[in-house]
Amino acid sequence: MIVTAFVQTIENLREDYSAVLSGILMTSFSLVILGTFILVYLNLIHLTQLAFRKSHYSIFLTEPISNPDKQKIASFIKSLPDVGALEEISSAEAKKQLIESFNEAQEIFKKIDFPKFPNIIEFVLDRSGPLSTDELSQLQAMPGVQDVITGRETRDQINTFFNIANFVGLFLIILLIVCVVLIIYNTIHIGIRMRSKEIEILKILGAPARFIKWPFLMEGMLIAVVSYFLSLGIIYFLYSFVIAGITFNKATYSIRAIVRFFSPLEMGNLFLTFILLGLCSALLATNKIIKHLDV
Amino acid sequence: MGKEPIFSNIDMEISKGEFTFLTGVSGAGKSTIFRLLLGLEKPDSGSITFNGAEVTAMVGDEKSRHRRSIGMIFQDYKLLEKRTAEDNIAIPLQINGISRNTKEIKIKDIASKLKIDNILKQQVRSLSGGEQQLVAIARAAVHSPKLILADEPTANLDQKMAGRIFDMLTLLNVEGITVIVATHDINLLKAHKRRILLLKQSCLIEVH
Repeated sequence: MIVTAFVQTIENLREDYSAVLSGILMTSFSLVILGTFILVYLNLIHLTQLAFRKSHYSIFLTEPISNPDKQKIASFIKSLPDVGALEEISSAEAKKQLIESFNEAQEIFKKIDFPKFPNIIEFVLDRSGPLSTDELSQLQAMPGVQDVITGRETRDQINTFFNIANFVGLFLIILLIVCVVLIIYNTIHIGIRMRSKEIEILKILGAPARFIKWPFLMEGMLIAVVSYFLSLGIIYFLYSFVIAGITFNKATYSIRAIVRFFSPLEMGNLFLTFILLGLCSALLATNKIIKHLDV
Repeated sequence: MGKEPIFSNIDMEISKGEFTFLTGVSGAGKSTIFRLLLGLEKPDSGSITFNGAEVTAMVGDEKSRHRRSIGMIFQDYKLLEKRTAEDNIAIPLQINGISRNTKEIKIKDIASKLKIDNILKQQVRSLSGGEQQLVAIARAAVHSPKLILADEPTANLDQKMAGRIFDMLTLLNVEGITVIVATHDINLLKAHKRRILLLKQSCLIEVH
């Protein structure tokens, strides 16, 4: 049955390939948009995870501070798990760094009389999570600690952005999937209408419904498979083009190591998803129309 | 619902291996009788029995199986024009799930019987009307059905080709297939002394 249906599908394509070809092109176009969106989204998540993997902390010290207190704070930080390098920045150095950050406007800011800067201890935590509440409160309670700056606000802002992006992304993905289903559905619908005479002949000759349906189901899957590979090729080309464009110098070359294309597992999952979409769309079209052509 | 019935009180029985003509003026209901036999239409009342099974009660796969045991020939051939003659003849075999080798043997066999070996590879639309009807007969007979229904098979053909078509139907009948030919061609009826059923004023009358 499957072999006969496959031969039948090829015969049908040989006779009327225009509808299928336009279906493939339109489906590929939708899949390119969908795939690009998913790829950008995956990379954003990946980059954010990398960025948050190293949490930076600044401890503002009280003025004046005794050396033993400073030593105790440093020892406590070094005792924390996954802690990286520790750097002490003096009040004068902090002011210098701030002024340098203004680039061309440095001269103006040099003349401003800033309030006295505190001495700062900076450290990096090389783990996926931030300091625990217990660790943070212990640190804040130590003598000589004025404040601990954790960058939590930035993290919260990015989380809010991702929550919104998740919602919009989910909506877009559903919208594009519906588009793909409708395109395949319409292509099969047109194919069935074009072959309505043939279907009626087959029914008179005693063809069971599955014999008539299978070639159309295969056609739906074929559109999905061809469109999948076509769009994957286009997305890979665009990806390579963009990466080559933004990593042409030494400064940005390291981006190559961070951004990524779809993994084989993701590609496999997408492939199976699209075959299923093609099959479901074709099934919807055949069930609806062949019922009307019942003889 | 208020409409005049096409037939009323029709009662006929056709035995296995018979060759029967079904005749009547255009619009008398010859094609409708065939559609009823194939299960394409349902009668308002009454029953149609084929090979011991009630046709009007058949649904789904059972109806498909019933149609597979009948070969149908149409006045307008109803062939797939973009396909070759061979592809068209192969359709009933594909539907019946016949293997490729057996399929080839059966197609060669029927083509040789109907003397259409030379046109098997040709596209149907390039064939003459008579040749197309021969392909339609081959398609109707290739899977050795129990019954062949031919609806005005010679209507669009010249006399010589009509004679050839009729000879082929006779040949299939001689091999044991029951044949019913619907026609309003008086010459054909006169030339061949067979059982004739006449559809007249919603009734079926046995002429011979």
